[in-house]
Amino acid sequence: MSNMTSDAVVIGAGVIGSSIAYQLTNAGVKVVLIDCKEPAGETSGACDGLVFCQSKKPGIHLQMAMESKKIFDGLVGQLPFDMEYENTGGMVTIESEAEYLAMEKYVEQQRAGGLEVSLLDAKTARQMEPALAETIVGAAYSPMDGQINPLTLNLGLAFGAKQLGATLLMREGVVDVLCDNGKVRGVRTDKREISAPIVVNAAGIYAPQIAQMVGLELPIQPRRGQLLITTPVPKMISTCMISASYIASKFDPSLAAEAARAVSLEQTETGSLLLGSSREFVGYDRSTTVEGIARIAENASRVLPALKNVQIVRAMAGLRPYTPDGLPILGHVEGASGFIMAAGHEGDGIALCAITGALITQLTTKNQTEIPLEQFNASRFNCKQQ
Amino acid sequence: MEELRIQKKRGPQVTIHVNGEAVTAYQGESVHAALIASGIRTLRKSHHGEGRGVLCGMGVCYECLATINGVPNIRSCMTEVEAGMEVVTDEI
Amino acid sequence: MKSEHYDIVVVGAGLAGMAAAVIFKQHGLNFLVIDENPHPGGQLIRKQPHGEQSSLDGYQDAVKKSGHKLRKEFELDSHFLQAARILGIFEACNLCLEDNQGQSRLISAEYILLATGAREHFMPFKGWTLPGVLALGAAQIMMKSSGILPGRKTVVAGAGPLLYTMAGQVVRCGGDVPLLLDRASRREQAAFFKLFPPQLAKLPEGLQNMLALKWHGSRMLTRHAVVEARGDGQVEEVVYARISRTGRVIPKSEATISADSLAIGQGFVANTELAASAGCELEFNQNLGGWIVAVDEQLKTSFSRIYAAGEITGIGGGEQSLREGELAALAIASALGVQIGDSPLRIRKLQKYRQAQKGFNSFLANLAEVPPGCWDDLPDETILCRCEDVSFGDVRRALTLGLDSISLLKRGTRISMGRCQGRTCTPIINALLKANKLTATAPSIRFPVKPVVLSALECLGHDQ
Repeated sequence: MSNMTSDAVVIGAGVIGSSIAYQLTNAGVKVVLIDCKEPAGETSGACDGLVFCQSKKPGIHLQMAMESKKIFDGLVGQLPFDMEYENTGGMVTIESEAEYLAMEKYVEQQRAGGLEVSLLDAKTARQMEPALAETIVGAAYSPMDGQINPLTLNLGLAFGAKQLGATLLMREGVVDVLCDNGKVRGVRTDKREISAPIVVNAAGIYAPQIAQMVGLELPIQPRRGQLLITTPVPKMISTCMISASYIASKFDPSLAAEAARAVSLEQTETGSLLLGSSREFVGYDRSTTVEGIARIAENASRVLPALKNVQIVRAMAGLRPYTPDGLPILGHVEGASGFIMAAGHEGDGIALCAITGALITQLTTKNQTEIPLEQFNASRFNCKQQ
Repeated sequence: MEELRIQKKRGPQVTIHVNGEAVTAYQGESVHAALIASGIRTLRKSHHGEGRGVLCGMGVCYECLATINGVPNIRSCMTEVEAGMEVVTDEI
Repeated sequence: MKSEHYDIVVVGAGLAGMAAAVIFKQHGLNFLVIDENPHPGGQLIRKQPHGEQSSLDGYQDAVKKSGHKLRKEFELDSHFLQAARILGIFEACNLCLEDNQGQSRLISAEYILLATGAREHFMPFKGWTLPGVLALGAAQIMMKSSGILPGRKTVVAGAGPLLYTMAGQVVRCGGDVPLLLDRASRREQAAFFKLFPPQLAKLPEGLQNMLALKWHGSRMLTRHAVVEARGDGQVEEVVYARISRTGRVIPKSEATISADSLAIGQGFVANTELAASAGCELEFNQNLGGWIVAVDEQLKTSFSRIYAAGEITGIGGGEQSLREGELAALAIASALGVQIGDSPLRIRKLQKYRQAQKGFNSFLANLAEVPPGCWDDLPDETILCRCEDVSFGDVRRALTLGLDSISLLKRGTRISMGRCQGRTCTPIINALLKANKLTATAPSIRFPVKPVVLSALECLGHDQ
């Protein structure tokens, strides 16, 4: 195959890499988007579509989510596939008094961070969502949360970039990142060499393998999430939902055991419900398990009892790129000029892909970003530079 | 459409209810066949609202779904009629 | 809860499954046969609604006679669990079972025999989603199991020997087949006569059907196909035309006939989903009917404890299923250390039969294949994925954008993501990809292999 030259190579055509490629191309940068599989062939093809602000840490994390939402609003109608973005509003369902007290504090912080959010009592929550179980104690509600179809979003961004002039290389793997004197000059794939002064590592769960090619060690690990999908049913819920125990376990390690009861719920445009999701460290094992499936089924029907009679059409498992502090790794790295990180979003990749694409584009074209990237730098983990 | 039944000699006669109306069937018949014999071919609605009826007849295609005895999404081709059975079509 | 363990779990109570079961039973093995249907017999052998002697089942050749004997033997046998399903196979030989009460549980086995059979394949046309358009097999099963004709006037169309079998059955049952449309040419049909003597036994049934149709006055046209099914809410008329060697509709050859039922089929595809969910390797073999389960000469799959028999190892009909069921059973028995009389000799004989059968396999596969030109005349509004209502136009547009594989088309258009989990449309999309010179990939499947009610999954957690 013939060699190529471009301004930037983006490795990984998941939702993060595709969003970067789309926005770079839109900004006039000549991009090669490359993936050893296909767009949405890994994590972004096996996840839910929640675009949740409420689940983000108050602070810069929440700020990113809110900026991302604005970009989604502007993307509607721009991509070659309908991303089915709906500003449904989101509920955090509360199942105990202890959770309610914890959520009171959390909602305060979210408000201070600029999020429109309120705490509802059980009666009000059930008025809004009559399908909720009577055991629900209350809910936090934000009109800013929404949902999206991650598959058509990802394909829309990747093939949208292609329509705008980017080169999309599918089923072609990067085997080396080429460097001269600490400066990136392109990549070698299993088919050719591509010259470019910028290489973006958006390889998600494979980001550590790509980073190693420039001698960088990353603490990203695959974390499995199992999901169940139902056959289409008449409208059961109008908002998307996550359990308060999910947030509790995410930000308070002492409540980690609570995560076993957590569930996320959304009903897509076609009427199918997505029920998620487990969080397990099992290496690169993508299989679904009987225990995992049974637990999601139990958790989901505890929150929405009417689900008991709904048919499950498939179970799936995706591997999320976990980082120890729950934040992605973004921006330049030391010792490899031109190498840019954009990976490690774990379960936030869908929600944060739009802002991630915008920030990496700003970094590439203007060398400055609207949200400072220092907190997201790989050096925060004291990564070994070899 | 009684003439669609091939033989005069059949299993015991039963009455089933389709969307509330009594329909005569015979034991051993599958629900979708009994419905076709009584002139009902449309069982479910597609996403775009078009009527659909049985395609494969062997439990593969899920086109013949109906609510049977209160349980939604039952494949009528894989279910035999029973006296007093309640069948509701066009649910989804 | 007690753990339920068997020497062998057989999935599918068709001819292959029953032929294996009879051997396991004779030798006192601890086995369970699971089938989705309310009665054993599979698609070919069906319980008659009343009495056993019936014209409904057509010509009684040796295969059908053995099949009905087996069916009667197993009708109320405790080794057979009817109206139940295997939802998935985990970690080699653990099976997730949904029983006839809608409850799920886990069972395990030393060996699994997959005998999941085949389903029909279709070449879509505008209006094929209208009620009244049904599969050849569906019409046949209605007649055999329920004693009910598919319609007053049934047009029969598609390809393969089942066209004639099914049409013959309709006229013998007193129904009307005014028209039979075969995509294949006379020359392609005549290839059958090159398969004598091994296939001679299939001749009487074929002749009987041809004679019945001639006697009835059915028009039988070769190299003709349906262009459109029309009607208000259900089929009222069928538009058909002559087609060229490349599959194109020949201009001005279109004609219309009124009918209240249209039975269609374009050969068969193997039900490989459960095998794939267990992780067994699949292979693509055009001569054996497309994607099939890869097996060695003992019918062992890529997993040493899982065997496969019947249509899922290659489309070949009832006799092949009976013989493969026997072959797999002898191989499994011997792997379990059970000595059966002259089994090595018998195994060699059955293996030879399999080899000799290859000519018939490729004859069937050849009839079922559609030439690439068939797609050119298909209007955009034709539905390809019936569950998700995805049209040919949607897929055509996605192909133009560069979505060049089943998995990309799935993510971009939702094809094959509905209730049937792609069983109906995936073979159609694969044929379309092939016509566009793109690679067809092995059909993937996820647990549960067929939809299951959520409450049935909840209880799985408590079994452990």
